[in-house]
Amino acid sequence: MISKINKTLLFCVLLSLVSCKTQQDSKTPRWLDDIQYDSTVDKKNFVVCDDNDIYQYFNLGDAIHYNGDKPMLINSFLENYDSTKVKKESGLIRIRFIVNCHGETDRFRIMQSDLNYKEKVFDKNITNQLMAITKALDGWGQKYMEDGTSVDYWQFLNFKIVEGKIVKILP
Amino acid sequence: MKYLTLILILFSSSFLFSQPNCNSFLWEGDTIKYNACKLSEKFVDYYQFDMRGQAILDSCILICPYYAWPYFEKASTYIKSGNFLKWNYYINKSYEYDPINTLPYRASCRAKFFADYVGAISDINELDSLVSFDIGYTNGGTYHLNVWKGLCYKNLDSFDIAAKIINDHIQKQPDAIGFYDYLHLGVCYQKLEMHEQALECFEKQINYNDLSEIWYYSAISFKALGMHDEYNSSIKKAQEYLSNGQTLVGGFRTLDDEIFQYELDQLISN
Repeated sequence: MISKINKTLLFCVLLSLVSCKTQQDSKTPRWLDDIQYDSTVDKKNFVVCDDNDIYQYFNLGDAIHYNGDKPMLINSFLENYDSTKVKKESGLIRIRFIVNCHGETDRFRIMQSDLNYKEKVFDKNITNQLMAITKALDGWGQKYMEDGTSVDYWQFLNFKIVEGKIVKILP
Repeated sequence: MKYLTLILILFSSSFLFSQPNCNSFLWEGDTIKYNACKLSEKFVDYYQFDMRGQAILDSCILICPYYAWPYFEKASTYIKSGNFLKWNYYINKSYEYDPINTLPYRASCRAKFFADYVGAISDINELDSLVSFDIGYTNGGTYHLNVWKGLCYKNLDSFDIAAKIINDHIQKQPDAIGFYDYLHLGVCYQKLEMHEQALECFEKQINYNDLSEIWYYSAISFKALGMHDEYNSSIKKAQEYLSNGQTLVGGFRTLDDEIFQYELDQLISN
């Protein structure tokens, strides 16, 4: 009888360990630098068509697949970014996000460094403007597999900022 | 042109810091590095972004913290997600343990992805001081590092220095003229308002790659020289090639002197 209870207990413990592992796995990114959904900042109605297979921006063609190409994207920042109301700080800012299979965007995340690639926090007037303009960009193109299926992809924009001004947008 | 870019992307790893022959470490008597190297061979079974492959690289680093290759591979993944913090950490670790194999790549990426032209020039100069052989090419193999240094100066608006460096490379190594060297040299001359020299370069570029960009920049120089017929025919050709996709194409980034319809429209309307 005791042996039976022990076996049952052992089974339960093993089952709970397996469950824990499964839960952990589901939270572990499958791909490097994946951005997990965060209900506090991400849109609830943003659809990722295939969460297991989000492509990188370079996998299926142009580095910047945007309506009007890169000049139009640059113009959006030139027209909307106001360098007169920011601190004269310098460094790099990356904004990374998903363009889904419908050409919509979300899961925006920001990364910041000085010009020596050391982490720093920029004046909010700089980062908030860049984030707002990036979120408002609505010309991202869909990318397709050979069979015509449109896919989700990761895109990023790196901004080189010198004394508060945008001097380069990459890639 | 797109096929050429695809080929360059597919084979770009062959221009990178290649995976060493593990036996060489054994012959040197370094069994720790040999063991890390043998394990790192399993990395190629995975897509570069796959965390299982990245875990293998992490294990290699744990086994042999002074083995440069896994740091380099991790850096070359992070660069593709634009993650400059992680990229910088890993590429500097790779540099620490193998500067000669790391500097060409670091110089390439600093300029390509972060507009860090001063850092790239510094890396190329350092490499030049470390080796007695040819300093080689950027990752991807498109540019000789001498030309890449010239392009960095061009991006810093030092067009005279850029033109001299690129021209010197072409003169000294005529067998190592790159796909777009004459185009970039021509644009440097154009910026210096040396339009005859610019047009000579654009004409030579045709033999390497006949691109819309050649005709776009030729049109600018013809316009400056008041050669209206040549300007018009160049514009026409630039548009024809652009419509056919016969342009510079970068899979990972917008290339130096690459043009889009917007630029051509601007030139025509001004």
